[in-house]
Amino acid sequence: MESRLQYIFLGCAFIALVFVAVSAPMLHAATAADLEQDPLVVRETDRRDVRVDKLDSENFELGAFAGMMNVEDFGTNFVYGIKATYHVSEALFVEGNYAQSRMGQTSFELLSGGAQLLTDAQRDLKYYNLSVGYTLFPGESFVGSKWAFKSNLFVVVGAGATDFGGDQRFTVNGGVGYALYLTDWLALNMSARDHVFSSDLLGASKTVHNIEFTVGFSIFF
Amino acid sequence: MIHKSTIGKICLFILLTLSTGQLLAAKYEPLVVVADSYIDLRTGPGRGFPIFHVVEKNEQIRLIKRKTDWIKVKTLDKSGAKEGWVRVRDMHKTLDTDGKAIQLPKQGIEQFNARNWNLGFSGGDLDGAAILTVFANYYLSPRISAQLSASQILGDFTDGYMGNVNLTLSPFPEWRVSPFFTLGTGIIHTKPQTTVVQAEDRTDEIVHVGLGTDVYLTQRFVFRMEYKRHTILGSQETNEEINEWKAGFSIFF
Repeated sequence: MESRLQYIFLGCAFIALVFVAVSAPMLHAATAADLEQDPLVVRETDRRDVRVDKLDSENFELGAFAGMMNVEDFGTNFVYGIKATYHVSEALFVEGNYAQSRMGQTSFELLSGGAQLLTDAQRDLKYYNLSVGYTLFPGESFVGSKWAFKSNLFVVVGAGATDFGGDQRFTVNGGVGYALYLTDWLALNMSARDHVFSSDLLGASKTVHNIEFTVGFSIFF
Repeated sequence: MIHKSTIGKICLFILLTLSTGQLLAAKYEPLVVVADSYIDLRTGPGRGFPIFHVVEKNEQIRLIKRKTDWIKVKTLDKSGAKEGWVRVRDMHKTLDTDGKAIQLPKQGIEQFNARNWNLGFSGGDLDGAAILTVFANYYLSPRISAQLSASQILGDFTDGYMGNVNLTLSPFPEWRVSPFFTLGTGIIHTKPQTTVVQAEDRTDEIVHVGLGTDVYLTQRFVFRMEYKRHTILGSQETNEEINEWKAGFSIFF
């Protein structure tokens, strides 16, 4: 009961704050509107202006990748996924990844003959993460004597979840990658990442490191 | 095992994206006049790329496209047009063909104050469990925004999801470190982990109050720290109160 009263009180206080915040700029806006000139004239000049924000921009990047992922105790297996990136500046970017893999058998399962730790469905691994990246060493890479492509090395760090063994695990990932720009809008990416989560599949809970190497393409738009 | 349909969809998506990119031929590529004493053209969209050409005052250049805070331009040289990259802020003295200044997008913290949308993600702790959140703010005014967020909860004993709507009040939007207050409601769904014997799945209503701060870093990039106190209403006798601490990043438009 006491907590509900607290919420009612806080709610009232919040609404009052909101009211104050809304009314202040509205008063200001009214005086500004009075001073505004003929809107038709303003509109025509706007249309002819050269506006940099109307230019085609290529800050978003979508890509697909495939490679090998090692999951501690479960072997190294094929992994494939998709990524979406937004480039905040020439150096900073944020990205989201989603990928799938399928785990093999542990040494215990192989040696014991018939024992199965996981069901078939539990061997499917899916992960997603949201990461922040920083571009290091931008420059050009030379291929033979005739070709030069823009390229860079990047580092990423982020967090996400891994669905594996019938459970979702909080996962931290980090790694290094190399991007080679074949054109302004097409890039070849290679990356090596570590996915770290805690697992209790083999008894005691432990932190496991899972290394992934992938190659992929992405397009900018 | 790769699903053929998944690969098919990815290929189709890539093809569609490529074709629409090529088909949009009627691009906006305005012609402008250099009014500064000169402008440097670089080979790539970054400060480290070498300067390979200098465009002089009164020369005309065509603006082709933009990548972060760089613009790709094309000269009209009769001996062969050159394409290179110019930093947006280096074009502040550039004029259009009528001799009028071109309109550059807002730079730095100025654009942070004029944001309409804010999209981000964060990670943190919800009552001992890890919590991952994606959120979107729509700014009704510089001070007030409506926020929608979706969270995944990853605990040692329970997993779950949480969705919230709230109003966010930022009393000082013009500050680089801009504090805010939130008040909202939502639902929380929790389920026990397969390896733990526990009660059944639960779905409850929650209300929360919170405070946090946005820290404007650079460009469209913001760091956000936040604390929320949730009250779980409903299926239990007494209302349970839980704390949420998190930090993350967002980009705004």
